[in-house]
Formats: sequence, structure tokens, C-alpha cells
Amino acid sequence: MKRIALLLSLFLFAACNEQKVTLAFNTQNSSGNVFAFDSKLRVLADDQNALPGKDSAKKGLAPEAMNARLSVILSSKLIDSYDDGTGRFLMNVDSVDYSSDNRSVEEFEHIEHYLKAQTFQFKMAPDGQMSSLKMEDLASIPDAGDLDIRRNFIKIQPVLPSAPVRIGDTWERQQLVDGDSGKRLFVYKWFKIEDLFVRNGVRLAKIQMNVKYKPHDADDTGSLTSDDFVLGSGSILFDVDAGMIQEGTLEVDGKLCAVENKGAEVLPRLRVHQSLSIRRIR
Amino acid sequence: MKIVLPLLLCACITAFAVTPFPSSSGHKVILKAKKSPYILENNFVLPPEDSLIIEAGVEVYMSGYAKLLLRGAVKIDGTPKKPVAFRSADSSENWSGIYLATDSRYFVIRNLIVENAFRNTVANSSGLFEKVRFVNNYYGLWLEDSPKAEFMDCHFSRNRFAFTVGKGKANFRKTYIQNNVFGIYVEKGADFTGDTTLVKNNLETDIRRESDEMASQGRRISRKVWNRIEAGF
Repeated sequence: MKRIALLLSLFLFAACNEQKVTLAFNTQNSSGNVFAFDSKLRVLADDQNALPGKDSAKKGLAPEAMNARLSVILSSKLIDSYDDGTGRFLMNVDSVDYSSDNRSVEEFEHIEHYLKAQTFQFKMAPDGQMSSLKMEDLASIPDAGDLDIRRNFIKIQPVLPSAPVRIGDTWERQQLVDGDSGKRLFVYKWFKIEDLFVRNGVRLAKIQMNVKYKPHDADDTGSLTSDDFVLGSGSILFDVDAGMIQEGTLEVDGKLCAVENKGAEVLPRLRVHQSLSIRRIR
Repeated sequence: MKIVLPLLLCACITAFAVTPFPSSSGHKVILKAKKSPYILENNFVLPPEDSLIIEAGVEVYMSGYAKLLLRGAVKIDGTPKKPVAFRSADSSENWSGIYLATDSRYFVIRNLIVENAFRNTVANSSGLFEKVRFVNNYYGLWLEDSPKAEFMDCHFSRNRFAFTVGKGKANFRKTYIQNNVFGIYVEKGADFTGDTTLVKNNLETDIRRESDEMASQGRRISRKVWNRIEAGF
């Protein structure tokens, strides 16, 4: 009898640990969120000529590099909810802080100004899939070489499972990033529930997220491609009851091949590291 | 006295009134001299199927970070005595600039003054600039992609980068690029043809080629590539 009771209690303990949760974004009655979103980008030319012993290295030339940093405060507001469970959101950029060692101070100011003017709408399903990601004002569409917050925001956005999950469960999704001028990018995402816990009375799910995609950007002036996938990994803390992201980070690494059609010169491969983070402020 | 005061008040209101930048009516946006000055509070987009016509003598004040994105047919018809002017409402602040993307619709811009913009761009369009003055802009004019852009008797002065060539052909006739920080900036791989005898007296350099600059610094990767990575990674 004692053995049965012990086995039963063990089973109950295991069952408690194996609790299932349904993860879904609140697309029906969200009161609005404010997020702090940061992106740090470092690009380093994989230049063999700059290795010790080479002429350029002897001349004291360091490998070419670029560093850029963008911090924005974003506020999202639910503007319409639909019967199919999706919701239409409006995202405003409240503040911007940008710097790059490849641009002038005047260009920083210009980028900060137009990013502040970027207001976009998107439709989001409860699983986090975004569609109809359109700029409110066509004039806010970035010019060539300018930045677009939408792209980075989608990169860190998780896509949640349709069925309830428990710790250890995994799922995969692919996300389409529709750019302007018909440019499309598929981002493959893999998720795993790492933990479920309560912090300050908030039930949180810790989700591991891995991403991979192949950038392909080509036009008359040149192209940007990658032989291998660009890979990223990070984690998201998801507020289970409120249905919203609490915080998240994503580290993305890739090796790019840039071609300039005009110069016909073979450029060195470029190693890119991007660090994205998002945190809900309120 | 009772009649004079209201009349004076009416005269003052009329004298200082500004007209909001109009929206399209019957696929046409017309800015008339009698309604000038106009103010553009935010951004304006001219769709491909619409036309923008600006009469001589019209002044447009651009507030905040206004941008004119012109995709339709453009005809700006100032005269030497009554030029059209695009200026910032607050002279201490930039406005974003004109972005001409008219595709196969040949634009015609005559006797226009463009002041205090961050960047004026011609992308995927061809057209004529005649007697146009680009003054005190950061990028006076950026030829991003233009199969054929013609410049007749134009003036670029007090700009940071007066004229930047990314891709395309610029045909210069009697065009003055003087008293800027940089005169003509030719991006790596770009070609520039035209009469450059009137490109002089610029503070840093009259004609600056990115490829020369990169060679002197031992660099191989142009600004455009860095920017493309930043925007497209």
C-alpha cells in the first residue's frame, strides 16, 4: 500500500512538472505595449590582405570594419480585432538613438528623424505570425541604404505553437519578411520551451529560439548574398497570461558576400554579428 | 475708424495666411501662385497616376522633417522673375527633401530654389533641371539612378555635398557648382560626364572620387556596401 502511495505521489509530482500551457499573443483586447528595442551591428571584412606578413598589414592597415547601434522605444496599440482571432496593430516609434562609424553626425540626425516618423501597421495572428506589414505613410519608406525597423522587429518576434506545450517541447515555423520593392525573405525559426516559472506573480515561459535565413538583396548596383545560412540564437521570456513578450535577445552571425556590379572587383567576405534585444517597459 | 480697423485686420490675415499643401483632385495637384505661400506639415506622396503642377512664384514652406515623394508626372514651372521656392519653415532645421522617382515620366523643373533640405534625390527617373538653385542642403542633389538627367544653367552653392553621382548619366550645360564643401562626389564605380569647368571654388575639393579616396586609405569596401549590409542583413 505504501509503495502504491509513493508511486502515486511520484506520478503526481511528475505530472505537475509536466504541466502544459497554451502560448498565444493577445490579439483581441491588448491595452497596448511599450518596448525598448536595441540593435547592435558589427561587420568585419575577412580580408586576407590584412593578415600579418601581407603588404597592407605592413603598412599598418587594419581590416575594414563597421559598427552601428540603434536604440528605439516602440509603442504598439491594438486598433482592430477580427473574428478569426487576428488583430491589427499600430506601431509607433517614440524615440530613437542611432550611431554608426560609417556615417556623419548629420546622417545620424537624418536617420533618427525619419525613423521617428516611421509608423507601421501589421496584422498579427495569436501565434505571432505577422502579415500586411505596411508603412502608414509611403514617404516614410526608407531610401536606399537607410534603416527599416520592421525587418529587425520581425527577426526577434517568436512564432508560437498552435497546441499546448510543456517543458522540453519543440516546434518550427517559417516567417516571411516582405520588404519593399518586392524583396522577400524567409526566416526559419526553431523553438524550445526551456522553463515555465512565476516571477513577481507573472507566469513566464522561457523559450529558446534559433533562427536561420539566407539574405539575398540584389539590384542593378550590386548584390548581397550568403553561401551559408545566417544563424542566430537567443531566448524569449513570454508572459503566458497577458500574451505578450516580456523580454528577449537574439545573437545573429553570418558571412556575407557583397558584389558591386559597377566595379567588378571581388570584395572580401564580410563577417557580420548582430545583437538584438527587446524588453517590455509597460 | 470702425470700418478701417476690421479692414486692416482682414488685410493682415490675408497677407500672412498660409495654405496647406493640397491633396490630389482629379489626379492633379496644382499649386497656384495666388494661394502661395503653402506649408507642408508632414510628408506628401504623389502617386504614379497623378501629376504635380506648380505655377511660377509659388513658395512652399516645409515644416519638421517633411518629404516630397514624387512618383507621378512633375512640372515645376517657375520663371526667372518669379521662381518657385521650397524652403524650411524653420531655417535652423532641415526638411527631408525631394525624392523624384517618376520612372518613365520625364520631369521638367524650371526656376526652382531648393533650400535647407537634407537630401534631394533622383531615383529611377529622367528629366530636366533648368535654372534650378540648390542652396544650403546637406546633399544638394543625389543622382541615385537616372538614365538621363539634364542640367541647364543650374547653381549649387553652400551645400555640404553639392552633387553626388551614384548611378546614371548627368549632362551638364552651364551649371555652376561653387562655394560648397564638396563639389561633385562620384561614388565608387559611377561615371560622370559633362562640362566641369564651372565646378570650382569649393572648400574641400571640386571633384572627389570615392575610388581614389578608398585607394589612398587602403580600403576596398565602399560606403554603399556598408549601408546595404546595415539595411539588408
